[in-house]
Amino acid sequence: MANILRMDLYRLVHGKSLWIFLAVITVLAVISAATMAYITDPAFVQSMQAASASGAPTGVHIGFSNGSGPSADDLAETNALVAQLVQGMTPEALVGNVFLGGGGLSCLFVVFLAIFLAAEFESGFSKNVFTVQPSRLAFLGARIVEILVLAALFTVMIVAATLATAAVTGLELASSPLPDFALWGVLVAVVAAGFGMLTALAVWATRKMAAGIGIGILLASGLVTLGIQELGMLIPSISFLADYTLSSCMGSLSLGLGGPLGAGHIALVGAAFIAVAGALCALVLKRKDV
Amino acid sequence: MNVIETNGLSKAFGSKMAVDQFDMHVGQGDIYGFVGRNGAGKSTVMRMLAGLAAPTDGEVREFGMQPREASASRRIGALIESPGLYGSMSATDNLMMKALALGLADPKDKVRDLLDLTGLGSVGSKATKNFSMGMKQRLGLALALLGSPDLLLLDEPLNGLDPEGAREIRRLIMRLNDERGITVVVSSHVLEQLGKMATRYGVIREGRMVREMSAAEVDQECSDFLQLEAANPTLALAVLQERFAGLRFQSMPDGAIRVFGGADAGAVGAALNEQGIAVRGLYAHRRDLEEFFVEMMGAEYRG
Repeated sequence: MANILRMDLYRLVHGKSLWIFLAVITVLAVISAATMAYITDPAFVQSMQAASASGAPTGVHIGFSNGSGPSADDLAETNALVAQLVQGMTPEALVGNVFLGGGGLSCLFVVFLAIFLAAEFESGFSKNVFTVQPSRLAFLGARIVEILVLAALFTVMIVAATLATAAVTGLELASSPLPDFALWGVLVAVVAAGFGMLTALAVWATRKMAAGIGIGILLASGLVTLGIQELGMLIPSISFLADYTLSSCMGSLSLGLGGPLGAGHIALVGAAFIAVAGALCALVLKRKDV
Repeated sequence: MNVIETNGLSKAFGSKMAVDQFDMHVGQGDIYGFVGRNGAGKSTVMRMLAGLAAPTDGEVREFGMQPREASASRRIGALIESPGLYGSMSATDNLMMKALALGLADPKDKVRDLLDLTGLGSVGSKATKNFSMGMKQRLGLALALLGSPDLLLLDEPLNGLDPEGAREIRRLIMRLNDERGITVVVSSHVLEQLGKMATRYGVIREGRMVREMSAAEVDQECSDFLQLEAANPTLALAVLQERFAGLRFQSMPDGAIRVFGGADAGAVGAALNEQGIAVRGLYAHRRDLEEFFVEMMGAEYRG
């Protein structure tokens, strides 16, 4: 197992995909945090408020825009949001707004992982791996460790890049207790790893990169959760299931630890997905020939 | 001692038996030429020997162990179907990854040695997607040789190579067998190259082992012979066996008799005439290796 980890570490360091994805994460984090800093800047807020007070039209307007500017309702909503952001945005909420709520981190992570895991089979290098390491369980063990470590790495990167940009651009954030912040970071990594395990299952079951990416994005973007929520509206007795999806957990974490789902709930759901997907991966790897 | 023994080995894909009650015996130090048509089951057998596919039935023993046992798998190097390479990474990187997976001490030195051995020393830093087919096959062989295996499983290592490339690989295989004592199982459609290196052969047809034989036996069966078509083949065979005790005879499924051992056509014809056996055809023939194997691969062997 240790040898497989060494082999994959070499591939991660000497290959291009990890560096490309980390660069993309950094660029996205910088752009998003810089935008946030700009729209919460007092000068920008004042200019918005001034525009709102200078006789912008009121009431509901339906029609085509003539480029004269936003409506008073839009401005009022924006002002309220900006005021909220300026007053009480924690680091977790900032990162959550940028990367977690819309499934940004999860989607980037599953795409990277699908490419990383499937390339082994699509290139045929897996034949070299499995002649060296015939134990499928040792192979799986190494890969679970890698998925957890990579999920933590991606989480650390988005947090570090977002907060560094916030600091450079002067975006003021409300302080958050370090243990809460650390717990939140661990939970984000665990939920991302859950998505990673489901993607790994899709890759190992199909041996196809496209399938891994497709299924991974379907899950990570929250479309499956959305489907469950829709179904829950039709059948109210199963509506609770939506709280037990990884997307719901990530959505809750996008609001920090104060989201609708508790830390214990999120940890259990994340761990359950990792465990169940791991068991299914073991079954698939043992049954399928290379 | 046999390095490989399979007993009743079978592999089914759905309802189709790709390999059916397959028995194979490869001795220590053999270069075992594994011959069969496309789809006969060669690659499936090779994958089971390499531990990449699990048999549906039967067993494989390599060095007295199952291929998926760690102590057996570490003694096996395999190049199955195509060299599995990361195209965007260099030859050195591809080898380094397998060296690390094997847990080799001094992996850099071993990788450099193998690149030199396979003639890729000057292109080690080049991305493998820019390699020619011959270079890829040599790199695949280098990958198989990492960890100094005692057994090499090479499935179509000469595929896509020009005659010069095929000759280089063949010489390398022979050198490894000669200098390092590595047992080699090699499947190939390039029978001319196979005939120059194999010390033993196995022929597979529709998933079953048709026959295993030594290179000497193949040489003997490929030698000149007389093909005789007589009115009464059974009587003709008895007469000839009595009259020409020093010759070797083979009855063919179509009733023809093949006479090996430098028989004189006139003497054979005269002997049959004396017994009143009408001779419908009698002609000299020489089979080459290809004809010999094609005949065996394509029709039930009744030697």
